[in-house]
Amino acid sequence: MRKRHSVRAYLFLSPFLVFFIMVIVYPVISGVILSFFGQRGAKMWFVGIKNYASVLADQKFWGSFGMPVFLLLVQIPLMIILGIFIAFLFERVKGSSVYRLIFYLPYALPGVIAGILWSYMFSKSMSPFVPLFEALGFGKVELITNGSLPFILLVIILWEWTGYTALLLYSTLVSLPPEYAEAAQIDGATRFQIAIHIKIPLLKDTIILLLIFNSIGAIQVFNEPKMLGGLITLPPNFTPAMYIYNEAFSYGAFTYAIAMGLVLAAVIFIISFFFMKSSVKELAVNA
Amino acid sequence: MRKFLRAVPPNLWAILFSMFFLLPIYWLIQSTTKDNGQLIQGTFVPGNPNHFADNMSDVFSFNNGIMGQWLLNSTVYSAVGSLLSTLFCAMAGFAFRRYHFIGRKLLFMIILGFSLVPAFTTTLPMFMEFKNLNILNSIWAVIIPSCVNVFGVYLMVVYWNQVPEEMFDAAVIDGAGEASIFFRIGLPGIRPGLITLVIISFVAIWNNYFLPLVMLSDSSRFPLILGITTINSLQGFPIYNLRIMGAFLTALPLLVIFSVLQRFLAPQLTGAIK
Amino acid sequence: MKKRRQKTLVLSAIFTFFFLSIPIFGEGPEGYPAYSGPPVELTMWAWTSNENYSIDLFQKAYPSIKVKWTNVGGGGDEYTKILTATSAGSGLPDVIMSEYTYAPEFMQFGSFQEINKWIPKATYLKYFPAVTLKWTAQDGKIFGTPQDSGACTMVYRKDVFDKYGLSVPKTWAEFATMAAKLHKADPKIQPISFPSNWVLGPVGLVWEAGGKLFDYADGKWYIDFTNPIASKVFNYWGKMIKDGVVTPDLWWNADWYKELSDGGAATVVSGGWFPEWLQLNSPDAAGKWRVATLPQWDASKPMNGEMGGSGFYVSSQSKNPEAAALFVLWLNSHKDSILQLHDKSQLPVLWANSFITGLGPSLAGQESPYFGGQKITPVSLEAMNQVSKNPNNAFTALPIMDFISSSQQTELKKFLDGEEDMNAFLKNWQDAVVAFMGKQGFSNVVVGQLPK
Repeated sequence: MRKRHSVRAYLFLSPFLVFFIMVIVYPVISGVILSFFGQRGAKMWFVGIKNYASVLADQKFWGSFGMPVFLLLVQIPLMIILGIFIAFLFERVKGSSVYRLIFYLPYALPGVIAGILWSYMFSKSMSPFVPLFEALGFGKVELITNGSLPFILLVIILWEWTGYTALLLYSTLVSLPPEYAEAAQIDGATRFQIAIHIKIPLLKDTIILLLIFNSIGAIQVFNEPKMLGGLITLPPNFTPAMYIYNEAFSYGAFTYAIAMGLVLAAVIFIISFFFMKSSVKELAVNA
Repeated sequence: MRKFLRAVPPNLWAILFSMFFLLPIYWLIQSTTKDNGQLIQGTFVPGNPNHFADNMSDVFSFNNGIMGQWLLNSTVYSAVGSLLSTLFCAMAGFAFRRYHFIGRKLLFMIILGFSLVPAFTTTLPMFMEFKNLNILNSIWAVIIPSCVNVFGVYLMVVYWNQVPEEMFDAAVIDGAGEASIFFRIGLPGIRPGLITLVIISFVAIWNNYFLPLVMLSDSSRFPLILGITTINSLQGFPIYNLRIMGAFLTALPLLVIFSVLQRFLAPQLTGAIK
Repeated sequence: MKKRRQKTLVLSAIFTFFFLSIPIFGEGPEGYPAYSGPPVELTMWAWTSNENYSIDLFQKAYPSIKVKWTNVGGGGDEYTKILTATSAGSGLPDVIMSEYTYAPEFMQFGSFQEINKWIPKATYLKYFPAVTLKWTAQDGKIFGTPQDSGACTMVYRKDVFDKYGLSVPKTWAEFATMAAKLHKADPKIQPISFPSNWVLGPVGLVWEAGGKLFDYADGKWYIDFTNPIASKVFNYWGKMIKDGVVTPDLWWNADWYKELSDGGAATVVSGGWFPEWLQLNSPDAAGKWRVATLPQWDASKPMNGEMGGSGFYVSSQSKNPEAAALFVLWLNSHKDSILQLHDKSQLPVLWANSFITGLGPSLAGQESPYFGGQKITPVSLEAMNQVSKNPNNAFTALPIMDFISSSQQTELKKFLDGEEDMNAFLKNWQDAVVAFMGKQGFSNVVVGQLPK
């Protein structure tokens, strides 16, 4: 039975909270206030909920959610499954630390550079994939088309984040008390059975964490689509974050951008409310 | 399905995945050996003649050797930011784990809720706040935001949840105070989590391009990731081969950090209780 | 008695005259205005670095003004910073570099301040052609000075032309014939690299034809994409695209650089700065390119347009506008500065009168090894000259250039997919632009006409 110890708790929380308020809470709240103003340059004038009305009426804004939904349904489950698989690989394989380094590299590479790299990978004249596909008998393949865009994005995101995901899962794995696995082994379970029935459930918390933050990331995705812009003409509302950037941020319509961002946050919150509530409960109440 | 998984040895999977992850990295490395003309040809083999040394010396002599300053800046921002933010996250996670304090569940949700707001919508308000605090264009404008890692708090909670209650109870029985419990018993117990978080934060701050772009106007304070986007010719056009070499150099320290810290990620023996 | 008084009068008149005329003729270097303020250090944002050399000379000419230049990233990055700092009321440097097509956005946004007090129109016109006021001034307020000229030139691959027996087209009719001939002989080579993602290209082509799509006058923004000249130009290109003779390219990416290097494009039409860009980014093709003026719609009335170019402006937050004004004036017009700008950047064409009449012609004999020994300065000067012969020789861009670009790309895609023809393309593009102007809060828009 844990005691309340509220004073102690807030003492431990205080460094984080101080910076959190400074860096996130205050800007969001002053942003909310700003969002009720129209703006041109340093001039601001009160417009009430006009910005929000514009956002809610903006069809292009709502149309931009298509890509995040695709990522939510396809990329996230795929990446977590792959991450789990790779985390177990790390445990089993010889020379695991080298592989861990290799798989972590994509995450370490600066996004702008990864964008240039992928533009070569998928370019018409220099991609190594084109001759590969030709050799496999597919003929001259055009890698980037409107239809293939979501899958190209999928490949890039998986490339960039799977190693990171695996790393997180792996470090959870290694901090699992070995007694559980040992006991099961004594009982005659196979490695595979141990993996599925014992370890994965113990990874549950990390998986939930990954699901939450990856979902937030999917809806806010910006960097990876931006990389694609150099390869093909993207509609300005390819993703919500890109739309906010194109509509408002690049013209200095900051108060409008803030309104859009807050609506985006509200949408995420509403959609995920029940899911988040229960999974957050899982995380918060434990041991 | 199980048969298939069992049939392919783990090493083969590892190698296949490695090829996928390494392909663009290999492209980057072999590109650093090329000058502009060779880069444009876009081949997948190192340049012949090899320009690696030229690119290296050119990039370091660019603009009176500002690369060194950028490297130093990145190191300071990332080291300070990752260490402090990890410490703060560990402390916060500890509080969530150990105490049933007033507002616990609410705070848990509120922190998450605020982080739903996309980063660049709070750019202007944060800029204005820092202007009022008079820290614009200073290192604090980069370091202070780097000390906050919302994901890290929740990650720490997950790790703290794995520390068995008995460990704390034993320490209390031994007469340890809370601070002592945190530092001497707790932190070592979540060492893999700490290391992981330090690595992740370090990389995130190191590669953070947008925040320094907005906050800093003095190129001598730029981190490496921002600095290399300013490698232009006299006419203002990007010098591609130097930018690529710059990118390679930007990624290199991250490799070193990871290699060094990785050994602490090894599975540890938790037999301290009985 | 009388003589002495006369003498005194004359002497006092002379003294008074000198006393009064010192500000007029200035203690400043070689006729430039003097600086009357306290010692100061200016800050500047620019993504080119050739200014450094000019700055050294400037600081010798005006010893109490120091200038500190920072590169905060090319175009888009710097613009983000400008917008943020303007909105927050603090953080702008004294001097800002901006492309001509983005300057109207910043003027509207309040990022610049007027410097008429120290550079009145009469002084400005001493150093720069009147046409440049369209890009450095608005509503009578001068905000900065122009640096380089984007006067269009055409670069072509001599090796490709020789191989297929083509001659350099002098008119667009000849160009169409040349393109068809080349396409038949080798469909893999583009007669021209037509940009699908660089709206300044098509806008410049309309400009060259004597037309425009938008402008600003009398406090109003004018938008008309469907005017006869614009329709003529767009339909000309639309036909060649539809016939498959020309396929629009994405510019500024890896595939494009390769195409230029390998001779995948026979010609490129771009701004006057493009030849130097080519030298940096297409080193393997050295000796194969040549420079020419553009084909004409009417060979008897040669005209030209502009694509790109940047000016230097004084920011609204500058506490030292006098010093900043003197700097931007000196930087972009003084012959010593011009020499440095030109020298270090190889061959930009600059708007300063002293370049057009002085340095430029003096370089007429210089041969460029990259362009196979061709003397390219006369070509660039002729290109600039043709701009001034254009009855519609300048216009102001709309304050939403990014959107003009992105909406053009969106509509072009529909055209390429066969969903609409060129006329519908122009109409839909115009509608999108007009709507967006409204969305950004510009109510002073006139649709369907252009100012004279």
